[in-house]
Amino acid sequence: MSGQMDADVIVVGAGILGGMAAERLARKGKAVLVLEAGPRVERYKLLQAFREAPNKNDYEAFFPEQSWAPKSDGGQYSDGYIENVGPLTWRPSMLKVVGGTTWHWSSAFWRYLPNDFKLKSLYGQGRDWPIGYDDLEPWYSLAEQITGCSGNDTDDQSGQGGQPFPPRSAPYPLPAEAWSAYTQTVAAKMNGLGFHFIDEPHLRATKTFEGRPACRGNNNCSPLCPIGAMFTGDMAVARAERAGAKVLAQTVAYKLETGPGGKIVAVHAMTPDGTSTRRTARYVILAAHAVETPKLMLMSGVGNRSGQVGRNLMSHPSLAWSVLARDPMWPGRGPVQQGGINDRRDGPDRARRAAIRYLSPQTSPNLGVTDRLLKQGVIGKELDDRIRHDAARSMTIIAALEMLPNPSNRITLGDRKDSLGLPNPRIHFDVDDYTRAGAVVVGQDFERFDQAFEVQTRLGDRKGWKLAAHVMGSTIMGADPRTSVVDGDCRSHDHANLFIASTGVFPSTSVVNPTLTGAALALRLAERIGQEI
Amino acid sequence: MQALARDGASSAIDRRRFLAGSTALTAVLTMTGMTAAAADLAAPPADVAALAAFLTGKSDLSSEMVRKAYEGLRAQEPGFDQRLAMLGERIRAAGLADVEAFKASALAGEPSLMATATALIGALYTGRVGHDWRGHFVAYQDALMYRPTADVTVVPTYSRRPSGYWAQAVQP
Repeated sequence: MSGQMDADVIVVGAGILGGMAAERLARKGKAVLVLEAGPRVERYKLLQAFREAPNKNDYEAFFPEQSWAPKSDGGQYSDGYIENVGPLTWRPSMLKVVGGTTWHWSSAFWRYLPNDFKLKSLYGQGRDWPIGYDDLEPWYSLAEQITGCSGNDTDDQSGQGGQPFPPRSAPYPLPAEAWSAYTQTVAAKMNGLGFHFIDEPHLRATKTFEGRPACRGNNNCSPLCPIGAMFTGDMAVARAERAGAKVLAQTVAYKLETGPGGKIVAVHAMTPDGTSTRRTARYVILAAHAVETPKLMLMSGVGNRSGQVGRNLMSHPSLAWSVLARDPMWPGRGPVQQGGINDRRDGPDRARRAAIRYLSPQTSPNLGVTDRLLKQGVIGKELDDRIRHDAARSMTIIAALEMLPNPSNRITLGDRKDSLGLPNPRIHFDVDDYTRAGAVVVGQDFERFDQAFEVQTRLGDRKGWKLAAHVMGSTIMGADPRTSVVDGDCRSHDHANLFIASTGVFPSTSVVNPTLTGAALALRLAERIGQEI
Repeated sequence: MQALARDGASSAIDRRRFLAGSTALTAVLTMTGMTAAAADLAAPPADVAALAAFLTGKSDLSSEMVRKAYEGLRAQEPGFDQRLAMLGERIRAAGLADVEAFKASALAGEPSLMATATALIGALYTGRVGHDWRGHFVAYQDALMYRPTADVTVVPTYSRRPSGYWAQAVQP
């Protein structure tokens, strides 16, 4: 127990990473207090709210809207919260509720490749991590076991069609998911082009797993799995609570207090009515989203001796190939995405251009198809006929590209205030020539996809950047305290008892969804704290 | 859960009644003194329901869905009442038999009339009015856009099929 302290460890943020770190510490008998800005929510109520939401394309709007804890989008307080001042508009998807932003995700759970940790030394670009794949492998494996990850043990995830890679100490706990007819056809066509279409590891249960039912193909993983087949952040938090962690909802951390020896001695937090409470702990873990965590550090003036807090902001800039194929493909059946192409994920080309991954969503196209036809003035029987025709042939391939850390891409404190008087995050963001060089290759591949699927109609803008919810770099990891915020253990260079459980610590983005690597880092840092307390 | 009652009696839209023009839409609006602020009806005016059936070619629209579409459009688009009334009058005056006849007529070439028609059709097909959180919910599971593919795809969140159904090839 914590003696005179309120807790052994305070975790700021009740999302998937904070939940996993909290559980690990609670299981070791540590007194863990989790502070969450948003409220508790229940799946059945969210489902009702989603079904009755006017805009099904807005993945934030049906989640609670609150003046003291704005989301990234979708409400009167949230719409003006994240401010963009750079060339590109990017409001990274963010929810403030118990469970966090992975309430809405597709649950892709990729490992990084060993080379992703060595971008500078291998390819002369970006930064190296101070740790490597082998340091994280046991924690990757543990995170997969906790969450019931489904994957294909035979895939070469580097995309070269070789032996299983990267190395694994344990097989995936759940078997790979059956491919939809759509995915089967996409895979066959892509393989015909010489690519290697592979499974995407994910957290949808492929059979009953620890109370989660097997996926029933509701085609709504994001924004909300209606039946809880998919592991989401609320489940990580529930596990932490079952292990003994205490969660305080509607508690907005706004100040980290430093004390003797540069340690963090307290976290100050407000309830929605503005009542502030000071809570003490031996250790503090910041797990409040990769936008909110640097914001809290900047507000508190902590951990920023390097001047890098909020800088090096990265995502996976993406380009979309959207078409009507010649033949019926029938997206809209089964999970929202199942696999993709990793052939350009690694290799010597990374010395001169961004790595690339192609993913193949199969979301229900009816809304987009219908809107488009109505704009064209199609009505009557033709409208029904064309909805069926076009929905069957609708296809999208997303190209996710790598980014390099650039200090000018950054989060700072804005001038707007929420109802508690706390500032908004202001984002300056752009894409550099390294990523643009990757886009040239993407454009060429898109032309090949056109041929393979005998495309009849091109839809949308193929060259317009779409910015993923994946937020990285904003509290960057490194060996040198002069140029980075945390060390290889995710410990602040400036405060020995302050750790960051966030994808914000990533020095490189790879091209895969970052959550599993974030989870592995969170479990690893919790282990380290557990050893020290 | 959305409360879209499938009320057989009230949803039985009588297209002929609309075409007969026994109660002109404009008259309904005048008699009820209906304004965007005043309408709080359990069901849409009969002529609106009939016009919705006419424009979608569907005789089984629930009155609840039509009411929500109508109210959403009135709230979203100032003057929608008047434009809808005009559309109804013009269709009636032209003696058009159905939406296919409307489509082939000169009326469909008039941008204002077509915009009004597609606004109502769009609300019933997409299940919403407006494009962001300020918009108006009309329907989800019963949105007409899902009907043409209902034998193949699910309305997202409403799968009644067993795990793995998606692996089966779709029959042409």
